[in-house]
Amino acid sequence: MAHLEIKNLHARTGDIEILKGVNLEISQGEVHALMGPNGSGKSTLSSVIMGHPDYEVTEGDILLDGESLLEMDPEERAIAGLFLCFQYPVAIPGVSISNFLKKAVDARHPEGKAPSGPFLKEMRENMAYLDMDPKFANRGLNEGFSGGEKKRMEILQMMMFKPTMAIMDETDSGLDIDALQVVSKGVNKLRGPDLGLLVITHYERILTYIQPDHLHILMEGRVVMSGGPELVKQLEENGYDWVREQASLPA
Amino acid sequence: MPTLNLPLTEEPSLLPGFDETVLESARSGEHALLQAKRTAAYERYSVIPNPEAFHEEYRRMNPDLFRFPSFTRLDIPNESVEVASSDADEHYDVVIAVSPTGYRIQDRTGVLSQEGVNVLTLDAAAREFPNLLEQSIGTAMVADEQRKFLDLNGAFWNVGFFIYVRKKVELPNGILIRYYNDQAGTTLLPKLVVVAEQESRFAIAEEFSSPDGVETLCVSGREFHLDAAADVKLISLQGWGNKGIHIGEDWARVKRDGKVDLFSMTFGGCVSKMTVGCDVCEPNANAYLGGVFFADEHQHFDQKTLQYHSAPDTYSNMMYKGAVKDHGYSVYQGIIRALKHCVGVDSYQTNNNLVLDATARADSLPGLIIDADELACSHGATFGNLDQEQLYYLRSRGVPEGEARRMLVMGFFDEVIDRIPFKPLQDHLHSVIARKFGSL
Amino acid sequence: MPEFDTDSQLVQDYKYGFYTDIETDTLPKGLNEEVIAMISAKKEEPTWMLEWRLKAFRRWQKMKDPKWAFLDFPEIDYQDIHYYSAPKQAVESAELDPELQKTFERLGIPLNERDALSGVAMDVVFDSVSVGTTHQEMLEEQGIIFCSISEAIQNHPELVRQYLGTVVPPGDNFYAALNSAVFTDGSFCYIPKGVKCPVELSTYFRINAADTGQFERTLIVCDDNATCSYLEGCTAPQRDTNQLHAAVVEIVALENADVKYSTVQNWYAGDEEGKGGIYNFVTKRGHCRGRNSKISWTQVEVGAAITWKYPSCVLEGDNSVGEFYSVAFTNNHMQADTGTKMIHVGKNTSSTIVSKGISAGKSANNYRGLVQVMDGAKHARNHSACDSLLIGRECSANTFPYIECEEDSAALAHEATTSNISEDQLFYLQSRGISEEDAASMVVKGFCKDVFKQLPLEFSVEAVKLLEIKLEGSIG
Repeated sequence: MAHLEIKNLHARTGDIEILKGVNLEISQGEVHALMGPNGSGKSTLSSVIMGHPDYEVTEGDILLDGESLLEMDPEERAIAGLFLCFQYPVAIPGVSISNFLKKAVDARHPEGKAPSGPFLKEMRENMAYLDMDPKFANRGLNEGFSGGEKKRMEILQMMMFKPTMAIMDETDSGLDIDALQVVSKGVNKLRGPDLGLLVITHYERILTYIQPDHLHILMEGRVVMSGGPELVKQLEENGYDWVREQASLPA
Repeated sequence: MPTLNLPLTEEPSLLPGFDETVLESARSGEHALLQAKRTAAYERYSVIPNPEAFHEEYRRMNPDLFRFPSFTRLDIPNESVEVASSDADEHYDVVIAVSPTGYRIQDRTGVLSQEGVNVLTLDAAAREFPNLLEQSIGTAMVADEQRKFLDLNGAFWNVGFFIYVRKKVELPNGILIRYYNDQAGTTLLPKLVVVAEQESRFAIAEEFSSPDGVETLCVSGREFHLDAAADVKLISLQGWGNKGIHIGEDWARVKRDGKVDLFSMTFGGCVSKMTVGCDVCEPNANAYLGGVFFADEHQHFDQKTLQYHSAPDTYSNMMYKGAVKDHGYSVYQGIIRALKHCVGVDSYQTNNNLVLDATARADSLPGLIIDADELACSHGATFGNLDQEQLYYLRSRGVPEGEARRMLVMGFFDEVIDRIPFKPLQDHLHSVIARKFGSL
Repeated sequence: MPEFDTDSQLVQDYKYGFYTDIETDTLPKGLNEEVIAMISAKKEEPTWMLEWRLKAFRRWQKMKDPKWAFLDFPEIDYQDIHYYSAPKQAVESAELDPELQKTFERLGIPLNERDALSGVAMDVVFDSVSVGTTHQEMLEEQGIIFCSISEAIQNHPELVRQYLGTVVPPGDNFYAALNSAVFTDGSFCYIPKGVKCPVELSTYFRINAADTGQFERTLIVCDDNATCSYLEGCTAPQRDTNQLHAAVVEIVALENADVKYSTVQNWYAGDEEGKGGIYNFVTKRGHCRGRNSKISWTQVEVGAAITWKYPSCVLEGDNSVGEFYSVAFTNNHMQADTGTKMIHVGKNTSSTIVSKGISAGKSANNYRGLVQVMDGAKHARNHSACDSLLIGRECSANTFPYIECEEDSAALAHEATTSNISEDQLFYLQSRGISEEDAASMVVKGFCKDVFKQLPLEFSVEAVKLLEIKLEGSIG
């Protein structure tokens, strides 16, 4: 069973230390939410887990199934079962979605090449499920996509790659309610014993669609509070100042 | 590596009227520092090949124009004289006025009596700030460029000023320099050296004018040195009468966090060859080159910009907007150059042209020379007449056709003009454009 | 059609770098009127052709090689080159030398009618001579002439005389003048009125002999309402010395004619230190003479030590259309100065330029292009997009557009960008499980897509594979 363990993680970009000892554990089948004010290090955490070259881990470790990810390239982490839903997916002009998905699925296939028939069938079914026009498959990856289209594209990839551990980095930011519902529908379809999920968000809204089993609050580069679903409500009512007080952090 | 320069000449290549005898007369009685600077500039000038038709730089002009058969260097007395005032003067802190008989520096708001603002002739500066002047004359230009006319100006200049603003000093209303020449067959060679210390902030406006029908030549040379976080703007308005020939060279070096805006506005004279270059030479330095030109009748304007990135994380943006009408001919040439290992360079170049008559012509040569990695450079150029759909839209709203055309032309230029810090100057530019546009 | 193998073992070495040991008929090194007379005699040319060559030679002697390109290479000694080299047997008999046959099998080019690809008629030029053209009968039925230029001079002199040198005059430039004096072979195509050529016409150029220049001359004439698509491919053996390929290609499009010319240029590019490789100095120009005619150039330039090449269109006919789509890839010490010229003369003419330059290693990749709207070219339209991609820190990418507009009714837009492969794009693809090298290759192919889609399908597949091979080892 897949298990992600973040141990005393310190990371920096340039001279600035952003993560200052994050501890977090997620098992397959669980849904965790991570909240925190702007600048608390939420997006940095997701980038560090995925291995973005701009960040340097100075202390601590990230383990997937007991094995450290730190020395692994991003693609090795992905093939090990990790998936990151980007907050700002980049456009890659000229690279068609179907071509890209096929390459990525091939990379995961034990023989290095997935049969085309079943792949195409699955892609079309998943696109239909996410209310995406089938013609979309021929477009350049994220090229000229609206915010909502980009996020659907991220969820489509998650459905195609079937990760064991997924991180959603503020997937709800900039989404209207209809798009949020479609995105949540996709995520909830994947939810189950095979997937561990970390939902990073700034707003409680998405958590009414994707209900977490656990909630963690990140502040100043550390997880300062953890709890069950009831914590969502408490946070909504009392705000981050209350968290600061509870965690005895300076206001 | 191939280069855009021609090989230096072995024999001296001098332009008529700019030889050693004239150099000696320019040097006579001068401060030794200035004499040495003239000699150094002359040595460079004399080995840079003369303009030839096969050289890209002059290919689109008649190179014989630069042989100046009928011009002699004005001998402007180094003394303060009365010069008539202009309506524009009242908007500035300091006004420098230059005429063939002399110059006047007028301190309108008393800024020169404050600590930190120095506006003086090069001759006075050589005595007061010799070290600073030693460092800042002939050093703003990037080393591997050959600028024949900048060095010609450096050797033969006949009126020169030094503007030196100290650390954190700001000038509320800026400086105006007016040049006027009514002596037919003479050459004005103004030199300007500007040193802006850390975090200083000011703007300089320049105007050139002469009566119509009087043949004059001007070879201007300006150098700008911006220290950390300095913010300097130059707005140069070339408004010579219809027989003026103008050659100008503006060069700026910008250090860390500094920002220079160089505006070049070309409307007057019969021929103009203007070059504006900047070297953003320390991280986070920024340059904006703005240009507005309008060539009508038989005017021929040739402008060149050079955005030189010699340090990582430097920025530059260039926007030249021009219109051609009647038999007007405009040429824009631009180069963005990013040196090796200059990562994080962000550089843009835009040249838009309005071709208002079938008899007019506009050429554009925006170039990128990139040796670096991890950067984003782009250029764009467009050509066309006024947009017929836009014209139709305005007319359908009840705007008369002439007015609608005028609105569109002003809108076209305003992208640059709006950035000029002097409101009176903006108004003046609008009226110049309206006058040129008038007959349409 | 050459089949390109993506087997990575072949990647490190230039796959086409082998040499065929074959008996040749080679003229001694050097260039003078006698040599030109000998070339002309070997080709059994009529007197007018020899005179034409000599006139060009005399022009050439008075010219200087152009220095304006952003290229750096030593002076070429034009007396140290063989101007004619031909496999003996190809000249002497109709039967193909088995060695030659084998060579073209290794290159993946079927020469005999039995193996010929159904959709492509192919002419093959080996050093200075054409060694065979396929599908002759079928083409003849339609009245299409597709043969080597040498044959055309003998068999269709009236057509050749009517058009040769009318698009690229012998004195056009230094290399064109040289070519006009000494050209040895190339293709001739004539598509008669109203005929839509049913197959792709293709020429494959192979330089084999050492110290030999190849002077290709191709002439394509598309008569009223005719269309054709022409493909060109090229390779050369791997050698330490530089070899010169100075070609001239002329295209004439008459009323409503439509010509598509595609090149995949894969000359030997020299080794990692920049030793050896072909100097590819080429003048290609199309003349849209008739109303509504169209000429479209597509080039994929991945080889040659130095490329100097500007396939151009003169848009004389009203409503004529010119297109230029280019991918130029340079690596190691390769240098390219390439682009196009679009000369708008007629009314309502339009042109499109899409140029994608990719530089890697220590190479220099320059785009140089002219858009000229002449006085009277009412309502000319042009759109140019020139993008450069840098891979690594030692290479350079330069863009030199020239735009000249003498018309108030013209609408021209030029845009250009230069950037490196974005780290964010690579990270995104890597985070999806794609290796860094594959990710970079995907980004590059996506970057070139607008050009590749202009190529005929089989060629497009081949060009993508070729680029993939060239990219390997240049990233990371």
